[in-house]
This record gives sequence, C-alpha cells and structure tokens, in this order.
Amino acid sequence: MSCQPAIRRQRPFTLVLAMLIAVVGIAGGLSSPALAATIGVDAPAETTVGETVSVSATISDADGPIVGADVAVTRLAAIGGTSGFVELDRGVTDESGVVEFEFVQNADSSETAQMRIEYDGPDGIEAEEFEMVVRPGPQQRSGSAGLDMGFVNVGWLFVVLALVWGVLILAVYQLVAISRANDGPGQPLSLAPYAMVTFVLLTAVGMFVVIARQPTTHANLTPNESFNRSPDAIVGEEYDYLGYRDENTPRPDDLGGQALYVQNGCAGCHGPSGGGAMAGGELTDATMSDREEVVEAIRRGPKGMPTYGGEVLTDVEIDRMIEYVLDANGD
Amino acid sequence: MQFNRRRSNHRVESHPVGLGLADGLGSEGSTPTSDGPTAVPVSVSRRNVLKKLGAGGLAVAAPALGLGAMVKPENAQEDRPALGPRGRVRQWGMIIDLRRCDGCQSQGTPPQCTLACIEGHLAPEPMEWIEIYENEMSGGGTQFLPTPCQQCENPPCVNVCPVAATYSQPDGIVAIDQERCIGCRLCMAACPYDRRFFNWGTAPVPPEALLADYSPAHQVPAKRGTVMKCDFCTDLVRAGSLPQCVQACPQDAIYYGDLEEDIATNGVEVVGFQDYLTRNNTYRLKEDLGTRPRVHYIPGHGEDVGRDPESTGRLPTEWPWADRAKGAVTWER
Amino acid sequence: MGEVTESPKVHPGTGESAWDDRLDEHVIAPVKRAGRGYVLWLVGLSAMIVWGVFAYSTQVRDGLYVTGMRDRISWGLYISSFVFFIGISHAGTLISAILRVSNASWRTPITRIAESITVVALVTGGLMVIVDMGKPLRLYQMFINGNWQSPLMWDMFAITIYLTASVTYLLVPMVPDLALFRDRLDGRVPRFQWWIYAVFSFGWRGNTAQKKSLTKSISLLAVLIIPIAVSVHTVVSWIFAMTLRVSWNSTIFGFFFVTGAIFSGIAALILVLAVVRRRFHLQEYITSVHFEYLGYLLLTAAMVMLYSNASEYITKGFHASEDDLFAFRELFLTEFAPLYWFYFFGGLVFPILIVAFKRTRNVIGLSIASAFVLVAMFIERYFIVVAGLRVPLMPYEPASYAPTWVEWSVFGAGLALFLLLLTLFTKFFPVLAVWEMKEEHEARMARVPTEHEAVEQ
Repeated sequence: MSCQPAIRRQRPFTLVLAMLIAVVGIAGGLSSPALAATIGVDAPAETTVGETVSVSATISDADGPIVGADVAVTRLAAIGGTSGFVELDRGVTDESGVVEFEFVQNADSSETAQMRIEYDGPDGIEAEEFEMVVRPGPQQRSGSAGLDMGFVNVGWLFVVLALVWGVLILAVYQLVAISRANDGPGQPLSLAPYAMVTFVLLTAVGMFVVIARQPTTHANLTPNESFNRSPDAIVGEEYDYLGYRDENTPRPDDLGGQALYVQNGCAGCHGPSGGGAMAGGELTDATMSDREEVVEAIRRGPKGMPTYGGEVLTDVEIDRMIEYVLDANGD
Repeated sequence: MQFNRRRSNHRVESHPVGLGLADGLGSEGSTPTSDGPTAVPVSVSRRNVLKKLGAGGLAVAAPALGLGAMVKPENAQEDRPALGPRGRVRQWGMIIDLRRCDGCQSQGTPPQCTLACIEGHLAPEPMEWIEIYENEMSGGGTQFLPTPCQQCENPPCVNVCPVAATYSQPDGIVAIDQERCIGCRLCMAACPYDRRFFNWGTAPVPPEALLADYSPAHQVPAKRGTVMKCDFCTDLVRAGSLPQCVQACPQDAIYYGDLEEDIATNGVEVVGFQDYLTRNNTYRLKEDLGTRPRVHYIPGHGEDVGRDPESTGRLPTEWPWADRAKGAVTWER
Repeated sequence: MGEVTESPKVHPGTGESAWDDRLDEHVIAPVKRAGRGYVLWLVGLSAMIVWGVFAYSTQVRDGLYVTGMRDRISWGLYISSFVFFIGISHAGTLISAILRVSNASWRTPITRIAESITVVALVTGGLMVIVDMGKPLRLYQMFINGNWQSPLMWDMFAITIYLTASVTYLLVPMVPDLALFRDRLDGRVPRFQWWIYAVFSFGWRGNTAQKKSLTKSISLLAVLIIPIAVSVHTVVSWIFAMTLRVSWNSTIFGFFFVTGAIFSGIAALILVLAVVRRRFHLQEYITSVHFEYLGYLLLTAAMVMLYSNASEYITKGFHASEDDLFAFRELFLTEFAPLYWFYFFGGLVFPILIVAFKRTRNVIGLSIASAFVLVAMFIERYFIVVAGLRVPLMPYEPASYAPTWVEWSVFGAGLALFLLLLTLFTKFFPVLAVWEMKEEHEARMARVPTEHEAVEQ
C-alpha cells in the first residue's frame, strides 16, 4: 500500500470511535452535576418521511429558563462510511426558554432516527438525545427538467410525418398508374413500380416505429423499471461492490487463489500477480506486517478499494488469495 | 450503531413523487408532499420543449409551435409514479469547497483527486474526468476549479444523443453506455462544461483493465471510438464507499452526498446537503444555461490552505501506465 | 408527343420535327460516345476514391486518432463537408421545384441536371457523416434505439425523406425520356443498360391517362419537396444551433444555413451546367439566358447571405459577451481571418460584382464566380464548425485543429464520388428534360414564332 492510503484508511474508523467516546462522554455527563443546563424535549414519537416535523426544546438551568440560547436539532446520519450528527434546524430560545424547530423528515425509514438537541452553552455544547420512529414516505426529490406542454407533443410529429409520407406515397403511386395505363407492348419487370411503392411505404413505417420506440433517456424524469443498465441505490440499503465484477457471474464454490484474485478484479489495480504498482499499489511491500491487518484491509476496502468482506469473499477465500499473492512473489 | 445493512428487507409502497423541489436546492422547507396539489413553477425548459416537439424541424411542423400557448403546468402529483417500487432512490450530488482547493500545490503533487480518479477508473491518457482548471479571479491571481462531470438534471448531452447511449439514471447521474455509443460526438459538442472525452485511438490502459467486466457504472476497459466521462463512482457509493476523488482529496474539499436523505460527507464530517448549500452561498457553473448541475461550488480563493493567491500553475497529471500499454497511442486534448 | 417517340422519323422535312430530332440526337449522343478524355476522367476519379478508401482504412484500423480532431475540437473537415454537400443538394430540387411551382418556363432545360446534383450530393453528404463516426458499424443503433429528441435523429429523418423524395422527383419527370431511350436505343446499347431504361420507363407510351398521372405526380412532388428541402437544411443547422456553444446557439442559424445551401446550390448548378453544356454541345438549349437568370438568383442569394451575416454578427457584437468577442477575434482578426475574409470578399462581394456588370455577366464570368462561391461556402462551413468549437468553454487554452492527410484524402474521395456519380448519370441518363422541352417548344411555336429564334440565337 502506498503511504497516502495508509493515512487515510484509518479516518472513518477513528472518527466513529471518537464519536462513540463523545456520545458516551456526553451521556455520562448528563447525569453528572457538573452540567449546567437541563434540556427538555417535546417531539413526536412517530414521523413519516416527507412530513414537516415540529420539535420544541426547553433549556433551563438552576436559575430558570435560559433566554436567547443557541440551540440546534440534529440527526445521526451515515453516508459513505462516515457518520455524524447532521443539523436539521437551529433556533434561539424565547423568554420562557423554549425553542421551536421545524424540519422535513428525510431520514432513512428502515430504522429509528437518533436525534439530538444541542445547546451551545457557555460550558460548550450540551446535548439531549431522543429517538424518533420514521415511517416510509414518498420520494423527496427527483429530477425535473421542465413542464408538460400537453397539447404540444410527439403526436404532431406523427401528423407531420404522416402528411409528408402520404403525399410522397401518392406521388410514387402514380408510377403504378402509369405502368397500368400502358397500352403498347409489354414492359419488363412490371412489378417495379409496386416494389417502389412498397419500399417507400416500408421506409415510412420504419420511421414511425423508430419514433414510437422512444428509448428511455431521462429516467430521472420518467422512471422506468425495465431501465437497469446501471443500478441505482435505495435509501437505507447497501449493496455489494459491482465494480470490476459482473453481478450475475456465478461464483464457483471452490476457486483457487489465482482465480479468486483475477475474478474479483484485484488484478485490475494491483497487477496480475500483486506486483504491479497500479491504482492499488504493490501488495508485497512491507507496509503491513500483520496478516490480520491484510485480511482486514481486504474485507473493509481502504481508499476506494472495494469491500470484499461479508458475502463477497469468505475468510477461506481471502486466505487462499493471500497465499497466491505470497507464492507468486516468492515469499 | 450499525449503519451498514446489506440488502435490508425494507420496502416502500408506491407513492406519488413530490415535484417542484428540483427548482431550488436552497428551498428547503418548501418541500411539497404528496397530499394536495403543489404549485409547480412554470418555466419552459429547452429540453422539454424539444422532447415534446421532437423533430418539429420538419418545416411543416411550424404550425404546431403555435400551440405553445396552450401550456399548462404539469399536474405532477397525479401523473407521476414513485421512483420504483423498491423505495426512495438516492439522488447523488456534490459540493466542492473552493476555499480549500489549492490544486494540491501545498502537497507538491499533481491534483490528488485527478490521480485517484485516473487510477481508480483506469482512465486512458489524456482523460481527466475530474480536471482542475485554473480560473482567473477578478481581483488578480487564480483559483483552482475542480471540475467533474456536472451531472446535470437537464443534461444537454442526453438530449442530443441519437441512440440514447448516454442517459439520465433515476438517481440523477448521467451515464454512458459505451456498448451502444456510435461515436458521433454530438454530446461533446453539446456539453457546455467540456466534460466529455473521446477515445480517439486505442487508449493506453494497463493490460489488467482487460480483465474487468464492463458496465456503464464502471467504464473499464476503455473502448475505442466511444465517449467517456466521470460516472460519479456510483458503483463505489452504492457499496457504502465514497468516490475516488472525495477519498483522495488531502484538503477534504469535496463533499459527496444524497439529496434524497439530505446528507453529504467529505469523509470526515457529515453535513446536511441543502443546509450546507444555503449556509455557504454555493453556486453552480453556468447556471444560466438551465442545465441544473448536481455539482455545487462554494466560492473561494484557496486562502484556507495557505496558498499564495497570486501564484499559478499546478503540476501536470501523470498516467502511471503510459509506457506499459502496448500498441496504444496517446494524444493531446 | 408520344407519337413522336414511337415513330421519330415521320416528318423528316418539317421544321418542328427537325428540332425534335436534333434534340433527341443531342440527348442520346453522350450515351453512345465515350472519348479518351472521358475514360481518363473516370480513371482519375476512381483513383481518388481508391486512395480515399485506403485513407479511411487506416482510420478504421487506428481509430479517429489519425485525424486532426481531438476532444476540444471534436468535429472538423468531415462534418464541414457533410454540411457542404447537403447544401449543394439544394441546388437542384429546391431550385427546380420553386421554378416549377412558379411556372418559370425557362427552367425546363436545367431541371434534370439540378435534380441529379441533389441526389448525388445527398448520397455523398450522408457518407461523410458515417465516415466521421467512431463506431460506424453501430449505425443500426439509430434504428433500434433511435432517440427522436436528438437533432441528429431529426437529421436522419429529414435526409431520408429528402433522399426518397429527391430520387422520386428525379425519376418521375424522367420517365418519358427513359421511354425515349428505350425506344431509340434498343439494340444500340448493352442489353442490361437498355433493360434499365425499359424497367424505369414503366411502360410509358405517352397516352392521355399516363400523362395525367405524370402531371399529378410531378405537381404533388414539386409542392412537397420545397418544405422538405427547407426543413433538411434547417435541421442540419440545428445539429449546431441546439448545442450551447456561443457561436452556434443562434436563432438565425436555420435561415442562415438554408440561404447558404441555396447559394452554394446555385453555384454548383451553374458550374455543372457550364461543363455539361460545353461537353455535350447543348449550347442550343442551355443558353446564356439561363446563365443570366441563374446569375440573378446567385446575386439574390449572395445579398441574403450578406444580410444574414450582418444580422448575426451585429446582434452578437453589440452586447459582446466574452465568448462572442473571442469568436469574433479569431474569425475576423486572427486564426480564421484569412478564411473569413476570403469568404466575405471572394464568396460574397466578388460574385455580386460579377453579376452586377453586364460585361462579366456571361458564362465564363459566372462560372468563375460560382467556383469562388463553392470554395467560399466550403470554407464558411469549415469555420462555422471549427471556429465554433474552438471557443473555450472552460478556462483552458484554445485548442487548434488542422486536418490530416487522412481527412483530406477522404474529403477528396467524397468530392470524387460526387463528380463520378454525376458523370455516370450524365453518361447514362438523359441530361435534358426532353419531353418538357418539346412540349414547350410546341407551345412556343404555336404562340409566338419569334421567341423560338430568340432562344436559338
């Protein structure tokens, strides 16, 4: 591994760790008398995606309500391996220490939202956690490129083309009439005019078929289920990395280390046998001394490397792959 | 807390989709919900006029144009189906903080985002799917402008593709199907951001690329005679990782996120997507063209990273396999 | 008239029949004669085409890498010549149809040549697009996955319709003349060639019913073809105008392209007419009057071109955005200035002057002017495409483009193909609309005998 990924690889995990410590610390702090303020929360227990949620909080200390306090409502969210509390609304307490929040529920509906009221007090941020059930709701945001002009639509194209082709076919048909009005000696290939009419007719029909087929180009506007040249992600779900591998290729149960290495696309970055300094760097340098560390890296996928843990590769398969790379490089 | 769920059984029934949101990312709070009609801002977009008129170019279609007076707002709530029965489709977007970008001058390296992108996608030389332009500032000096594909919601390239080889995905990403592309390059003429690249010759890619399974979400290996561009790393983000450029940025200047769940991250902190846009007064490139990009910029001058604003130039990008690809050719852009 | 074709030598002594016979002989003559110059011409053209095919084969082998095009200037000579050839195609059909609809009787001797230019130019122009494609073998995708929102798709529709209509419009008025060839050339030409005449004269005997059908067909086509032709070049311009480039995204583009197409079409027609007239000794039928009239049309088109230029550049130049200024600078002062000013003076001012003065308004003068117009219009297409793409979209150094030998060779082959097809057409098919000329001659003789003398001067 090159040095850059080694530094950055740790980041999300250190962060999650730090966050957990912080959460535990704050939770512990809440019960301790050192904390100056009390935070009371009034929030609905159940919300629906897309719903405008009203939450109110009361900030007070031993002397009574705190007026003019800077308070925010946040939600714990995770994306791309990073998680943290995201601010939803911010407000200032009134004379009775109450602050009203309003936000649109966008959270992942497959789980309970972890919420927090954060009060930016003189002793730093103090927080009160609570939970909120999120029920499934409609799509909140989708592409929109303009508006439906109703009367002005592809139908007109059909009308115009039908008109043009109609006149053209009528004109070509006159050749048939000329041919049939032949009062002299016979002509060779008297089917020729019919063939021409048929040709023009077929061209016309072909054009209409092309228009009518209308391949889906703007799936951001008109979602189409048959449209899956590249799959999309659903809020609350996570998928295997498809990258170099084809999702539909059946995986043999018992593959050799080399086959696993190539089939999972490792060669794409690390070279055919792990020696090439490609996107993923050399696998044989001594950045990682511990075999466990290597296994962990393969499972987790640092710095853009796909994750191969869980269902993608079993521990046995990872072992086989490591053996192959070590063998191939002679140690 | 366990955030990595694999293939959870969560399913959402079909719901009408809230529209009108798209018009302003900063318009948080005015989100229409499925109940009751919503006032959709009436604005005629180029793309939709085209879509409806189609080849009105046949001169005889001119009378049909007169019918434009009959414009009515889209009754979106009734007509629009939910985006698939599986649930809410993530809507990817990006925020680039120009205050932090210094073109990797402080690192003494070529831009890391470009390098990571090249390596992660085995992108052929001289394609820089995320390119750092140097923008002149009105007050003198320059500003670095990392420019990936802007992933327009009203993409001019998709509108002109004659074979629908480039298309908008439900998640708002513009992808290219190189197995369908005919190489007419009309999309390159149409893209106002110069973000499309053509495989003029047999591209220099490492031999390993040939082992890869091609998909529009992962354009490896490069195919001669077709167009390529930034694909927003949807294959990585689907799997819970972040795009190559986001991971590689030493200044954490690139935020990547989901407008549907309204969160974004630069790999260090998580922020509310729309909230972050509003608070940082973001803009989009060439907004007046009506392309509605999904890439937002926080204005800046590189001052956050200690770069001398008067200095210019960044180190040139290098392709590590340039000399290893046999029989390949490289070209200048 | 039908009787005349069936028994051509009934009245060898009378003036009328003599005129008809001489016309027949003049039209048939090229079919029978093949001089050495003609063979050399064909060999030369074929050699150019073979060389172009070889050049294209290197492009197939190595990809478009062998051209001078790159990402930032992604279209070049190929697309320019596509636009140019499609423009030339307006010579014919549009001019011939407009003149037919407006009942301008002087058109009859020139319609056939005009219409053949149309068909030949369309075929060549269509090929230039395919040559430009990165994956030409995937052309079938246009049919199975055609996205009708794309201007390129509109173009394919429009050109398909135009080609079909043009071929019909060339063929239908030719039916009686093919019948003449069938009757007069039986046994005098190779069997297959005669068979072609026989099949495509559709049993024409010139009876009343047939004449009625013929007239009906021609009137339908003449009316239909004008909107089609206008739409074709409008749609060609829309390939450019529908993008968001400053030099292209302009409402005048459709009009501008159509005017340019008619302009270059007339020039091509004048040049081809001058050559055909000299080569086939048709001075009696294609007179200086025709050239004079075509000269007036050329003048009109040049004036409209000037007007369009002024309208386009003054509108854009007045508010002068940064990109507009860049485009103007490269066009008027720097990279493309020689090309632009040649186009302006050589292609617009010079032809206007030629036509304006009576002394130069003759066949030679007009031919020279037309040659200038053709070159200038090609250059105009070239700088529209290349200079338009050269305006930077983002903060980068403007790219440069120069066609490579492959592009020049393929372009040369396209030109050669155009000339070859045209030569073969004039060799094997009647270059004059014989039956129409006869009809008109008859009418004229019956009405004002002196006019006959005037035409035959």
